[in-house]
Amino acid sequence: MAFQNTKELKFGYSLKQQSAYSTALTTVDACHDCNNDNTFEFPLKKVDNANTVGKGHRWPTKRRTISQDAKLSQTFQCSSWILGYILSYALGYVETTEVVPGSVYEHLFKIADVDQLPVTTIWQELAPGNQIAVRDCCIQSFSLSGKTEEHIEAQHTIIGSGHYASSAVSIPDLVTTSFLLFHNVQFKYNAVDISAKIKDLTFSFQNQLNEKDGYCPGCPKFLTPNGKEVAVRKRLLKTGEQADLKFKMLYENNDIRTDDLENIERNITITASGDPIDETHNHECKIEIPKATINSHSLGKEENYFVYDCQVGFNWDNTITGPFQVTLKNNIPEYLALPS
Amino acid sequence: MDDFKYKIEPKPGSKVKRIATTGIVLDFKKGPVIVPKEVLKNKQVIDVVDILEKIPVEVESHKQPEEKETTPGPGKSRSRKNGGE
Repeated sequence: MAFQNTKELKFGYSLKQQSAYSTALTTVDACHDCNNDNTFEFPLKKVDNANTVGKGHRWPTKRRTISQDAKLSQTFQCSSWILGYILSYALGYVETTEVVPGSVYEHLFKIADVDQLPVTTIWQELAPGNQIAVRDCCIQSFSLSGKTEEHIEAQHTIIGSGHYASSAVSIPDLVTTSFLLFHNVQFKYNAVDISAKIKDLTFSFQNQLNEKDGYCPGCPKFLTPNGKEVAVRKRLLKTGEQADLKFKMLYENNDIRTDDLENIERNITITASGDPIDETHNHECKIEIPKATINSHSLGKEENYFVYDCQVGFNWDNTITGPFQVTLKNNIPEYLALPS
Repeated sequence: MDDFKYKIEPKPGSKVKRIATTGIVLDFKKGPVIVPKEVLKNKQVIDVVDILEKIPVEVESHKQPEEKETTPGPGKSRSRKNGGE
């Protein structure tokens, strides 16, 4: 008997995007550890005839499986590796600059002007010999949050087409990572450094996706062990996006209240840094919100001190062609490469 | 109908070496790249690049090659009626 411990679960990720929806990748780039032992769920949509009439009772007599979905939610101690992975698939657009040839790269991530976000394949290994490749994985939402004396935590929610296949690729050992720590965060509000007043913060982003549309006529099929066909998605159209920033800061003056009352646009810049890449560059992530407004604030208390609980709204900015952008500096040469 | 491809490079002063989004990877490390017009429908790509040249795409001829008169081999017919008779 060989029961499988959840701690031995292994995930393989790729920085390459699939060449097309429904075309799985065949090579895995890296393994990255996560905080939870969640595994892929494959929810089934079933219909039955419980509500039909004329059969003499109120119970169903048959059920049929129509379609299959694929979902996974993971949390990570935020490294620059996993952050780049999340940003590339969640935002879908990246411009890369070589800061130091061959070693330091700067990636500018923006919300992509596309209908279909880039998708990738994720490998899940419950035990040696029990591995699946889940194709068409798209990042539906992510959040970055931090509290004093903690790692920044990254969370993402994956949605696939519903298709998976048995696989036997060799998932590499854990990727070398540089973690981003909350005490290295710099928070600038209206170009003023207020980092020391920040108690905690959460930046979150959600892609609004039309989950039903993909089960259109002509969509691919997943074959059950008995050869029956279950529909899986052909595509996953993006219909919109939503971004949110919440932070808690020690109360010192009334500026936030005035900004909230008058909807004054302020520039917010949040920078988090990690280990050195070379003598002059560190792993670093910078979130820029050029036209942020305080959407709501409330006065609260935390350990005998008054704090402001703030929620930020994002206005469009023509200079960056979007409501926000994220710059990530690390040692990864490219994101969203197409398979060779 | 005429179709075009476009030779593009990052705007002057830009240090961008690579742009990637769904299904598109533009690698400028070796200089300008030629892309189909669909790539320039992306607002973000337009923001970053200059168009250097508009290149007409040759439309492939769909003419059937001329049929040569050949002598049918022994026992073979050059045409068949319906039903293979």
